[in-house]
Amino acid sequence: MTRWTIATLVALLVLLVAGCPQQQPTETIGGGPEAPATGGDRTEVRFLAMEYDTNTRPFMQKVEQQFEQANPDVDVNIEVIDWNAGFQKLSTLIAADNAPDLANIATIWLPELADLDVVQPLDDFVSEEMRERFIPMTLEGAQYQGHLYGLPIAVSARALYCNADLLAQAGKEPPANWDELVEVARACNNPDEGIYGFGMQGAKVETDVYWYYFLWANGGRILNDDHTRAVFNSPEGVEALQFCVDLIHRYQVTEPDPTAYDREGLQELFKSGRLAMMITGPWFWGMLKEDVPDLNYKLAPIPAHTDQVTMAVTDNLIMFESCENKDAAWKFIEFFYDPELRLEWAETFGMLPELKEVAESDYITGSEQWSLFMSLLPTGRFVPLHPRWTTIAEEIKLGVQEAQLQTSTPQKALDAAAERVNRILAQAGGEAE
Amino acid sequence: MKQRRDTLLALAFLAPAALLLTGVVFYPILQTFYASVCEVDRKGSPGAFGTLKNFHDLAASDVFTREIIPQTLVWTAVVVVGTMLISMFVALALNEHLPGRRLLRAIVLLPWATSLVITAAIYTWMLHPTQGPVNGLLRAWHITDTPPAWLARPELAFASVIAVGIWVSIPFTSTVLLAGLQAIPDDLYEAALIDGASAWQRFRAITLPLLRPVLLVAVVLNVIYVFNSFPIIWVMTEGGPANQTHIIVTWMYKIAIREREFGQGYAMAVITFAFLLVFAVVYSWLFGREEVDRL
Repeated sequence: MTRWTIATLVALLVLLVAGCPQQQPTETIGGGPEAPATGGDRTEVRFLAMEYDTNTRPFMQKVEQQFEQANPDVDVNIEVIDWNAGFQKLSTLIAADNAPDLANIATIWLPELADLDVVQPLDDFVSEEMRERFIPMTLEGAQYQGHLYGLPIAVSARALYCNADLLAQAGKEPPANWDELVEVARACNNPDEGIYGFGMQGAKVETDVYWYYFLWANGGRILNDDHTRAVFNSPEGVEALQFCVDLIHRYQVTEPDPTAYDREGLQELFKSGRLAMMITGPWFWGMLKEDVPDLNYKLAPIPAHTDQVTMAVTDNLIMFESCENKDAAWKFIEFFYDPELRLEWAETFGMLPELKEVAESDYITGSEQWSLFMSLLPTGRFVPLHPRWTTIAEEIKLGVQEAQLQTSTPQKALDAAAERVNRILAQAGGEAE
Repeated sequence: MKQRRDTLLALAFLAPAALLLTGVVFYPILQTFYASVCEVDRKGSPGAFGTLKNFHDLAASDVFTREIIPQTLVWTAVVVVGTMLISMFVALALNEHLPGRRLLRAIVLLPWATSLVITAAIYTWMLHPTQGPVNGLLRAWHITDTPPAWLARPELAFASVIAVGIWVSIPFTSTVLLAGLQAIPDDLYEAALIDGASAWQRFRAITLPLLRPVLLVAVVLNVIYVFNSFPIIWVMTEGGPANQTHIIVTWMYKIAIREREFGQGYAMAVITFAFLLVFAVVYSWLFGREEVDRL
């Protein structure tokens, strides 16, 4: 054997090993209920449903049965799929001209799908009467370039969770504004005992969002109106980020080293009773009830500065352009927005109602938590609907982390991030033309 | 005549494996090469052929050239060197006639049976700033009263993922080295002992040279695995804080899958492939001579 033979053999080895499929970070959970043999002339509607939690599959199965009982001529096939794998699956199906008829998608995916011209605008389907049934702001999340592209299916907002016992010990009420936030956090903070006043997120997904709570409260905005320029490095933005950095380093009322804590990390800290306050969504009270039923907590609006705000998120139920039986698919959508069904949805998944009728039900108005979140909804802000939003958010997250780590000042970090975001916006604008 | 039949038989036996490899290995690789020089849309499907745009985009990215590539090289070098050194000690120890040697060998192999994602999740918890056992021990043994948040600072986070990278690579490497050690005939050592060679001399003059082919394979395989290792970093830090623990493969996932810049993703896959290929060929060229003489 010569040296060359050896080298070739090793090269082949590399080819084999390097080519082996890597471990997938996420796994699709199951394939959903099998389609019953389509008998005769039933029209088929395929619904790709992203999974919220383990209740999604049974819930969807029930909806499917109920709908088919009422509409024997339509055969609905609902495939439940894990969120993380969802967009990939959807992209693959679209690329193969095999898109489903319906899907529930994250609102941030909407611009991208709409730009591909694969989403059916619903303006002509939604009657004035039906539109009236929705809380107006919940429809904003699906409003893109003058069209309504979907209906809200999973509305949520964010609020301040307070550990009632820690606040009571310090003799404080939940803070209403930034000054009070510092004051209450200081009063509750006790690092020697491992108890911290305010939870600050600094790791992984939505680190940028944690700063938007302050940016928006200070009257700042992320992008300008026509999404051509970043405006988050305005004086309001810099002040908001400076305030976050001050909470960490100057007042020292947060957990040390926020860059070690993602949202789950903060929630765990809160659950263990070592965090007096943190900002998160309505799903958290379900977790608290299940994991630490003895923990006394209070909900309050996100502390205001110049503005009272929260972040609103609405996943959307969309219909695809390629859908062959749009009337049947629409019939299913109408069925899906039955108030009783939507109330059950809210109860099951801890999502805020989007129908006025559900919002006015005893179940919602009779509960302190639900009412608080519903009262915050009108102050909700959406993140900008832009096809490159994920990339933009990553750049902003980088700026926020640099400021938190003090490797850069808030002004410099945000200016640099704005420059990077502007490049992305310019690029995207060029492509659109 | 007979020879021809044998050849046919051999081909028949090889065919299923060849087909399988073509379908699941060679085809995707070629497809990736092809797509990397195409315009790629946001769905990931290749369009117009014949452009270097994807590679230009990558080269124009400061983060990629100034942070991701150096970090990848440091990660690979430190993890592989660390793994080889520690595994060598482990293999030498397990080759001795220790009591309970079989049990020890089984224990060394155990972590290999655990999914990397689970290992990484466990380490994330162990390194938790306040509730993690690592900091718990540091406090309990009074080593420090203010142990660090391991995954919060870029340098510490990088060191942490590297340590975990080494930890998960040891089982495979030490097993391979142990197999190599066991193949060395005992009489060589006996002869050396009679000649009065010290332990270090025996290691230098007998163990290392005879272990060379095994070392070669272990290094090449480790470099490939480690360079491409996704789960540890992604689970522990997602490349953060501030992108300081990203390596090419995690960056590729972030850019291609999360942000759906598939074109740059394809380009990165090709660069990774080319790098590993060149490395393996050069490395085996440089260090493969000995057994060339013997073969």
